[in-house]
Amino acid sequence: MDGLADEALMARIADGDRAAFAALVTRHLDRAVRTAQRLLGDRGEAEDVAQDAFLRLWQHADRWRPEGGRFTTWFYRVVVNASIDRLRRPRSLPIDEVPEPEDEQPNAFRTLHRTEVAKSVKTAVGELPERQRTALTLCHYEGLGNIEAAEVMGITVGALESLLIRAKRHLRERLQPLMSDLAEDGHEA
Amino acid sequence: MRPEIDLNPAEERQLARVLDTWQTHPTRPGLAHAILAKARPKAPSFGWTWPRLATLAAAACLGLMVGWWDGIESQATALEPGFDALYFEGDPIEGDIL
Repeated sequence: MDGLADEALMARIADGDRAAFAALVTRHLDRAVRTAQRLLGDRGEAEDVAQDAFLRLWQHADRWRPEGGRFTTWFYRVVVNASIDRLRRPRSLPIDEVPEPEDEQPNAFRTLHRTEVAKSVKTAVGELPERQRTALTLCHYEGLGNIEAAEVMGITVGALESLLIRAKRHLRERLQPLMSDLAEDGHEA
Repeated sequence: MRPEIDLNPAEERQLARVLDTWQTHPTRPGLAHAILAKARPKAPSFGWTWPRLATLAAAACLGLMVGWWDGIESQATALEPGFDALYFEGDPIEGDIL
């Protein structure tokens, strides 16, 4: 089952094949949670979104048409839309109160510094308008090309590039002191 | 409105380094299991293929014919002498649709 393409797994899922569904969940769960986590800033909510997305996929796999594009593009769209739906609901937890994962570097000062930087990055990304944040998440953090990211968001490549430029410009202004700090830190290492 | 000027390559690299400090939490190990447990087995779907539609149409025709024959039979029974008088004689039963 692991050797099958996503599209072949989807065809089996449409027929109610649970083993195919398990294979698809194993293959794409991390990606779904990671993307939702970047957009929402909260792991619990991201896991809820990923769970909903997969259950929707299980229920409506027969409606998916392979000629409509790659599975991953379609699935990113489902996750992004579900995350945006959640973002528009009242939030129970402010984005900057979520603890950062431990950094396993040996130098305590550097670890602390990086954690602080990470917290500032998270806050700055969280301040971006949702479309800019989505564009940045897909292109920078998920490594999608501009064409695929534009397809996921349902916009033109030009519009996506414009969102990215605005997002990066905002982040550069917001994170300028940290950018030079981290550069010095990198030279020392 | 300011023109949309891209960052220069050095700024791009610096910004990328800063952005990469934000790492996401690893996915909870039990999450995949929880999702699979919630995916209930599907009921077999009824595809609207031509043979199935033809079978359904034939069954509907048969139903109509049976109904039609039943109606003729009821009419014949109603015409039997004395039936009406027998049926409508006496007080109607309370709650009877008649």
